[in-house]
Amino acid sequence: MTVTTPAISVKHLTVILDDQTIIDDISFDVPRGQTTAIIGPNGAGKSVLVKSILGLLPSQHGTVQILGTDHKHYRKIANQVSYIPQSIEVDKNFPLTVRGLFLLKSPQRFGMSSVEEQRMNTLLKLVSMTKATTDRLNTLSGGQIQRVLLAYSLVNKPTILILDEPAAGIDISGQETIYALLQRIQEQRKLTLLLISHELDVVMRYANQVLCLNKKLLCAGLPREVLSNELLTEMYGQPVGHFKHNHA
Amino acid sequence: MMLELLLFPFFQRALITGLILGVLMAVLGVFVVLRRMSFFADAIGHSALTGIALGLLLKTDPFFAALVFALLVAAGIALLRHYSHLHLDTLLGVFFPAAVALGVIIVQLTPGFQTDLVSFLFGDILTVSNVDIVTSIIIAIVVGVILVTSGKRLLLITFNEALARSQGIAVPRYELLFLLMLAAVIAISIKLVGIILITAMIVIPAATAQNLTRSMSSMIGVSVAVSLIAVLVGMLSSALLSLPSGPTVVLVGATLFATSFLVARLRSA
Repeated sequence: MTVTTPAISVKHLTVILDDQTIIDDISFDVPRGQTTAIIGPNGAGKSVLVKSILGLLPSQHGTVQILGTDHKHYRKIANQVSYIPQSIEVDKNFPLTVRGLFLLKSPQRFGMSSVEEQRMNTLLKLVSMTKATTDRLNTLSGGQIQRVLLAYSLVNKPTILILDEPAAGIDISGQETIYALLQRIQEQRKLTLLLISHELDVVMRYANQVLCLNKKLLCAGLPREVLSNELLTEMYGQPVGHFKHNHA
Repeated sequence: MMLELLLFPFFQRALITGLILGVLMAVLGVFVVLRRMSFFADAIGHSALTGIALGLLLKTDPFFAALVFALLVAAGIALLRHYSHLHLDTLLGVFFPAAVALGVIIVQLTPGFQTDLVSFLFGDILTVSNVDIVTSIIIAIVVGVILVTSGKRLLLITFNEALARSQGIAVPRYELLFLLMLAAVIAISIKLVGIILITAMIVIPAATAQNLTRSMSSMIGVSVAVSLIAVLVGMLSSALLSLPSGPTVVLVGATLFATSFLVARLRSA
């Protein structure tokens, strides 16, 4: 593996579920230390693509390499990758506190070490959730849960962070907070960020690369260069009114 | 009277086995309740009837046959779940009645089985032997080691499977392990509580704890405490009042659950 090896390399990936082609022969690279956003309409296969990259779906056609390792051997590099699924629903009776969640990531048989405890506090401070340590997850708002999960995902100091619609179900101000936080963390830690997003403004502002997906890969490149109203209309099947497109 | 009772070897055996299995059922019950798998526990319990019937028909130890059969059913369900798109409750909806139907037919074909049917269905502490104590201890050690080494992973899978998978946890392997542990504990507990009521002894302590606690560790602790109280009070009462052991233990547990429910309501009011 050389320094120039992409963080994620997808070649001719086809995903068929229940005899339906969800992803149709797509290839792309996710460069290291940058933010790549996946956009597309509902049912375009965005979440399936992410799950397929992580090897969470049955074997598919094509190859996926993460940090130079075939995703079939995902467990070897799992410690370098963190994934936050789309809006985790916490049952109101599930007795898990924020600290309890962090405990589950500790390799200690019981509890966690003082170093791990310190790291948890640092990360919760990073996402402004220090006061929530003893709160049950089901008492937190969607935005607060996402921030806790973001802190949780950084425990093992990953090099790749994959997020499936991190701001889904969160109000506008909460969305801004999440994306600003992500950008800050990405820049500070030189993380490779791969995220699914519906917010085109956010993609324009934060992403170094955008992947337009609707079963097939319709575009890949710098958002300002590849996104056009024509492409978005083709992809979403209707004009995307609020899209502010400014060519650099 | 109570002290005299404790001097009887049959009661000592039943009590020791009951307390060991009570702890195991309480801890596994937390996972069952949080994963909403009580239907699975019911299916395994009822499929054990078929194992018992097969054991009697083949003239082998019926409870050993129940243990083997329960493990096979658990492994079968885990495999089907892995390779099928069907939901667990749908698979259980097929397995559960099929296993019971097979058991009932074998019962009809086995002479003399019907006379023991009540003790198999509702438990009988007189049937607990020294071998059962040893078996319970062995299963407790195995389950204990697995829970200590893999408990955090099992809890993470319980919380969110996708999150667990993304951390490199082999979810199907741990699911199989959990189902096998549960099947083993259910099969070995049938002598005490009976096939019909086994699910109650797995679900009630954990459900009671869920009413009273707010963290995972306290839920496990309270579940164990409730289970031990139910087993101890239930078995003593059953022996003193000449009542069947399984239903008495379950009724004590249900009373504790009702109390915890009221306490939870009062707290939130």
